[in-house]
Amino acid sequence: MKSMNKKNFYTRLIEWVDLRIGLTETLLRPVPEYSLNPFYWLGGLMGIVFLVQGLAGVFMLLYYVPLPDQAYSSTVYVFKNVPLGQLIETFHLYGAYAMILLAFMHLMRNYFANVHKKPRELMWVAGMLLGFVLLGFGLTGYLLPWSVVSKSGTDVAIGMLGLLPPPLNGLVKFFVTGSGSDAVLLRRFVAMHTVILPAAFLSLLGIKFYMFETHGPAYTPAYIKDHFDEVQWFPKVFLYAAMIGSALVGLLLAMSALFPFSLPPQFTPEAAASYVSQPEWYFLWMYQVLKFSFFEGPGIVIGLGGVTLFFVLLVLLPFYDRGTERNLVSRPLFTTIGVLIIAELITLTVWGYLTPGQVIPGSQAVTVVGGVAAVVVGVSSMIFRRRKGAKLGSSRGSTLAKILIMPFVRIRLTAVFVLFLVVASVTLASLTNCLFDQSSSQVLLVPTILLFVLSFCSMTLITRSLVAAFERSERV
Amino acid sequence: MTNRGYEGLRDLASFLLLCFIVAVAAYMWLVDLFSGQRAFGLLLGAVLLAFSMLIYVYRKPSHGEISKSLLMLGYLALAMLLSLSIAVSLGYAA
Repeated sequence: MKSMNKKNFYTRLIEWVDLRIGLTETLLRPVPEYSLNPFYWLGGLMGIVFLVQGLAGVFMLLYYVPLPDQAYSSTVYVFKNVPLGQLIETFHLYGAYAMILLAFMHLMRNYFANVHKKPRELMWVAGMLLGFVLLGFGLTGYLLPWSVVSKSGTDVAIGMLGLLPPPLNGLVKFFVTGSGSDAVLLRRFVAMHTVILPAAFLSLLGIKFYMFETHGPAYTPAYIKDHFDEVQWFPKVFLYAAMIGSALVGLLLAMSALFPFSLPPQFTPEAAASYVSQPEWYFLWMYQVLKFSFFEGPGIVIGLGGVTLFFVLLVLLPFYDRGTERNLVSRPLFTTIGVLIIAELITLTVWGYLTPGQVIPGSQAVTVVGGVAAVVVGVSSMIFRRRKGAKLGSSRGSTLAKILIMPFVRIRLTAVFVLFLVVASVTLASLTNCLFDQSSSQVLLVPTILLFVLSFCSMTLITRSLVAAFERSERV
Repeated sequence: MTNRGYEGLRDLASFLLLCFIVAVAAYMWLVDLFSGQRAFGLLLGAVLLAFSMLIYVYRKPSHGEISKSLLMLGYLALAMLLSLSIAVSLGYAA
């Protein structure tokens, strides 16, 4: 019995530290135990990666020379002559990718969880501003190595920003490009990347964190709340953050060691002339939209206006989505829009990657973007219309889980659905090719259209059958 | 599993992980930071992952026990990172 009551080494160590620092007396509020889950910690993980990125950035700043003729050579110096230089440079790059990916996942998770409802509207706005600052980090940091890839990509991005409607374009010119010389541009980008943006990021993070401490985690369904206790920030929450944070940083380090970044050639006008410029992957979707032929020339103002409007609508979401309903299953319009955003962003990014520097014909753009939208809206409306007609259960919390298990009620039917999905995708791709590639055979156009329509109708019918089968199994 | 058996498993797992962290961290002092930076990165990644697993073992969740399959997955990842660092050091994974 004596050994059972004896505290182990780790517990005694933590108690020793706590007695001297007073961590259990922290002002940070306790959190519900169910929130110790990676999906609730996407923003927290982003903050952890930001701290490590700061350390890696300070290390690189020791060697970096912010002059156009020395920026590249100083980066090469870090790669070749500084201990762990290449590893840290690669880690900084992958860390930035991880932050942007985590930020997007955090955004979409919060969108679907409807955390922007009263009184957390300004938390949402602060989070969106943090996202813009993060994209600013990506834009400014990309230029610093002064390689042909980074300089050409940045030129594309600056060109896009310069076409923003007034007064935004004036602000971009004042803050970003200045007189337009390379030296001024690099100096401003370094200042923004190392001073202005980190200060803005930390300020916004502080404001958001303060609001979180005031309001607490959003939306605690009663059936969850009843089954979980609240846990103190120290040691449980702290240990959880340390656990997932060190796992993520370890993974990023391993990735950086396995796939080290190779520096592209130095930027020169000659090298840039033979290079098809392409922005980083997180700007590709936007770049792809602006490559649509109807946004070429003067039309680009409309394209950029559309992208700006998309961001403005996202920032202002809490102020027009004012309903009290938070369950995503009971919000068909906003749920469909969320799925549509994800599907379109992925499609445009992949498409942009596959078509570097190509102007996309307007009709092709309408077919692909519209095709994705039609599939998402069609499937979504089928599911929600069926759901409206049938009561899928009284418990709100379990409704989503029920819909998610629906495809497994009749596995064979689901398999046929997937088969038609593949056929529909292939025919859509062939259709696009047939319509816009003059060299391809036009004979196949009609059968391809028929096959696509057939597949789409079959998918609709199968979805109906799956819902019906699910309802029957529920009644039994 | 009895309480004593469960506690024994936790102690054994945490002891193994602590040994792993100490041994790898000690070995990392010997790695050349110019030519062996990839191996260093893999080893540091393994140490951080082992640290994360150590916390996982130490934390006692109120609901449910420590997942043995998750622990095994972690050990496999550690073995893989260690093997990769050896392969990188020997020049097999260019």
